[in-house]
Formats: sequence, structure tokens, C-alpha cells
Amino acid sequence: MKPTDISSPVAYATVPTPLTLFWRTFVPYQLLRFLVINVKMLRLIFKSHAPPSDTLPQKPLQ
Amino acid sequence: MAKTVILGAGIAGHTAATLLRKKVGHSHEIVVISPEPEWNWIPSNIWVGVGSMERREVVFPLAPVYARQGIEFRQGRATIIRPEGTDELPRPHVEYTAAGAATEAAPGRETYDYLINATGPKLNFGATPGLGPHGGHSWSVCTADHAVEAARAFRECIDRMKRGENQTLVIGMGHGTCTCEGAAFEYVFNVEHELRRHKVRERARIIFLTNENELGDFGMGGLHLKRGGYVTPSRLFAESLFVERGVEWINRAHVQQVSPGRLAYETVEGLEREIAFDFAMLLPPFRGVGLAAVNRAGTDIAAQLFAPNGFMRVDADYTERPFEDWSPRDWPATYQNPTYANVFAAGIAFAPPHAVSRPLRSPKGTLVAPAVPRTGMTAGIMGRTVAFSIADRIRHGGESPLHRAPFATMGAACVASAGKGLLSGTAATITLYPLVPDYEHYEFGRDLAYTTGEIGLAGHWLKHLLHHMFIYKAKCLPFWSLIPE
Repeated sequence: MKPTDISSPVAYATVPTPLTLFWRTFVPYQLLRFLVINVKMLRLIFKSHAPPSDTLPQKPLQ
Repeated sequence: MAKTVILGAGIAGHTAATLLRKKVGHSHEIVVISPEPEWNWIPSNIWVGVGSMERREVVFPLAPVYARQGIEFRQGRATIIRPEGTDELPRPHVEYTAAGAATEAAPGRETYDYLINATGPKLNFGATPGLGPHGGHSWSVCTADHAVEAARAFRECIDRMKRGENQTLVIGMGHGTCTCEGAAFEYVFNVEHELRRHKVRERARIIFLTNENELGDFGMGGLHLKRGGYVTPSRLFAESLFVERGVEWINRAHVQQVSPGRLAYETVEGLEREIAFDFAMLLPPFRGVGLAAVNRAGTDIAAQLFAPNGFMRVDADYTERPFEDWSPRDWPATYQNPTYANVFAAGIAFAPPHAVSRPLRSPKGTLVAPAVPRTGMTAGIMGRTVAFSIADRIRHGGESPLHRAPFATMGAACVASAGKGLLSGTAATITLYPLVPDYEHYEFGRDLAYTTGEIGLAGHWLKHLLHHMFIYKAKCLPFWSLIPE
């Protein structure tokens, strides 16, 4: 897409370099990223599942 | 013995039903009423919609799973909630009409001690004239069947390109108040990926038409990420992907009408244009499924139970205020209906108190306001929270404290496919916390330590892994409950 129109947002968009595109599908690097993303996801899941400390359910009635 | 009735068997309803069964054992009754006989892993409908996955890979029948779990299943569509019962049947109950093969059956009713409304949305194609696959002129990927129809039309489009014809494909949102922009985002890049795979990309003009204020808004007001020594808005990453793949975009748009091969739209800036297309996949806006509610005296109490958009009121602050005055504290935490303590809503069925993405209006006054997404991980957490609250009340008494999962402080993980393929696929992986921007605690509204995003093959592998993992979990196969929502 050639940004011929300078009023178009296309003219100001960031574009990945060939090296960036290469890393996106380079299997050894992506295997590492897979591990990193999983760790990030797990951190987020644990944070989302933990109720805020001031709102923990009280001990259930017996 | 307590009886819980769950309306809907999507991510929220199914999660609630299975976890509640696990928590309370088999001495209490659980009934699921859903019009669909199958469970559908909706995120993978994107792949069905471009023909790279079969329908059977994204659905499975619910009845055998529920039979194994000791959950009763009624294939039907709930019509009326009677939270105070009637003179004839004084217990709270729900009326429903049979769906599927049993449509000739007499209307049924189920009494309840606890009710979870997890119906999901009504796909409101009627909001835009000519929108949708049934009687309209555009396709959808909201259901597995819609996705199959979209794939067939897309395949015909590819065949025309292979015969040397140029084609215009419009993908996006079919109304100014739509939600789930992420699904359209995924679909447009999967379409682009498939066109390259079929070696016809140069024959296609692809246009993404969205109600988002900016690309990368996703109905969440966008997000900021740390990258390359800068804190940058998601708009930059989204626009970059569109430019890289040669996909044009029109944002802040409301589709006015879809005609055969042509659609009219207006933008917040006041432009009114038409686009001729050969293929259009436009998602509909959502609204509540249209449940009625009646009290013991026979008075219509729908306005008490439901917001004007048809979604159920829960423990949120629905006071009308200007956008600037809304706060994360307005969002619900227990998903309990404020009028009837034994009624809860989870997933898309609960009424959001306000928009997260700034609502805009066109000069004509048309509302362009992306609604906040509340599907997937958030729906699962809501289903789980409600199930645990009800389980406590069943086991320990009706006054047991409710579990809380404040919507505003939930995180969200989104893996948006940008093309399928073991070595050639890519997906954008986004994590963000909290879901509702909190500018009191975070300079950019969100915690940058938990708000991340990247695109690559690893994301595609993760999306594939999640597909198998969540279908496994939903089938309640061994150790299913170890997989978090």
C-alpha cells in the first residue's frame, strides 16, 4: 500500500522491518516466545483469579 | 435439596453448571436450559469462517456431557422469569419453549432456588437493515453455522479471483454500537492470510469497517504497551499490521444499510458513503435475548430486572453520568441481581453500567459507541464466581457471603489469530490488566507490567493449544477442573 495521500493515516503508520517479520516466524525464537507468553498468561490468570485482598469472602456460615 | 437453573450453555453458563456440580455434589439438582444442543468454542469460528477448520472441530453435543455430570439438560428457549412464582405455582420459576427437534413439545417450566442468567446475547441483525445471513446481504461468524455459510461464500469469492476477477471484501462491524471488534480483527487477517495461501491476494481489495474510535481500541478504549523504550498506544501496533498486510480501514463508522453488493455507512466526522462489495462479513450488535419478567401479582417487572438494552441488572452502579465521571468502582463484583438475591447474571447477559471506550456521535446524532467485550476469559471467571457463591449458599445457608470477582479488576488475555498454519500462522497475543482502565492507580489506565502484546507464530501455537484445552475442559474429561477459566 503506497501512502500517496498524506491525509491518510497509512502515511504515518509504523511498518515492521524485514528483520522483525523474520523473527515473527523464526521457529527457534518463537519457541522461546511461546514459553515467555505462557508465563505472562499464567501471571495474568493468577492475578485475575485471586480476589482483591479486601474483598475476600468471609468464612462461610456453618 | 436445592435446585439451580442455568439459562444458557455458553462459556459462562457451562462453566457455572459444571463447577457448581463439582462443588455441591449430586444431592442437589442442576438444570441447564439452552436453545442450542451443542457447545461451541466460539473463538475458533474464525477458522471455520475461512474454511481452514471444520464445523465438527468447534462443537460437541451437550447432552452426553451433562448426562455424565448428572446435570439435567432442557433444549429450550427461556421466555419468562417469574421470581415470585404465581398463585398456581408459588415457587420462583422460569418458563421456556422447546427448541430443536422438540419444538412441537408443550412449553415447559422449571422451578428454582437459584437462577443464573447466562443466555448470552441476541444477535441483533435487525438493528441494521439488510444485515446478516438470514434475509440480509452479509455474512457472520457469530455461530458455527454462520461461519460455515461465510466460508462457503468466501470460497466462491476465491474461485472468482482464480478465474481472474477482482473482488472487494468488507469485514467489520455492522452497526455503531457493536462489540467483539477483536473477532472481526481476527477474521480480516485470516481472510487475508487465506487469499495469500490461494495466491489471489493481488486480486482482492480488503476493507476493515469498524465502529472503534481508533484501530486497536477493541471496545476497551485501547491500551498502552511498553515497547522499544517507549510506552505506545495499541493503535500503532494495529495500524502497523493493517499497513503491512495491505488492508484498508475505515473507523468511527456506523453501517446504515446493507443492500445486495452495496453498503451505506456514516462516520463520526459526518461522512456518508457507500461501498460496493463482493463479500461482506459484518458482525451484528448485541442486545438481551428478550426475557420477560413478571411478579406474583402479574405485573411486568422487566424494567426492574433488565436494563433498557435487555441485559440483566446486577450489582453495578447504573446511575446515568457523563462519560468522564464514570469509575471502575461502578462495575459489578458478585453479579447478583439487586432485586432478587437468588438471581445472578454472568457473561454477556449482565448489563454493563457504562462504556469503556468513549461513545461518540455523528453530526446527525447517530451513536457510535463500541461496547466493552465480556466474553471468553471474563465470562468464564464470572460463571465460576457465581457458581461458587451459589454453592456456598446451598451448603452453608442462604446468608453466606458472596464470592467476588470485580469486573473492573479482572485481567483479560486475548489471542487474536492473524492466519492459521503450523509454521506460517501468526497471532497477536495481548494481555491486559485491569480490563476497565483505572487512571487513579495507573498513569496509562492499566498496569504496564501485566499489559503486553506481541505478534508471531508462538501466538498461533497458543491459540491452537487453547482451542484443544478449552474443548477438553468443556467436555469434562479427566482433570478438566485443573484448567483455569
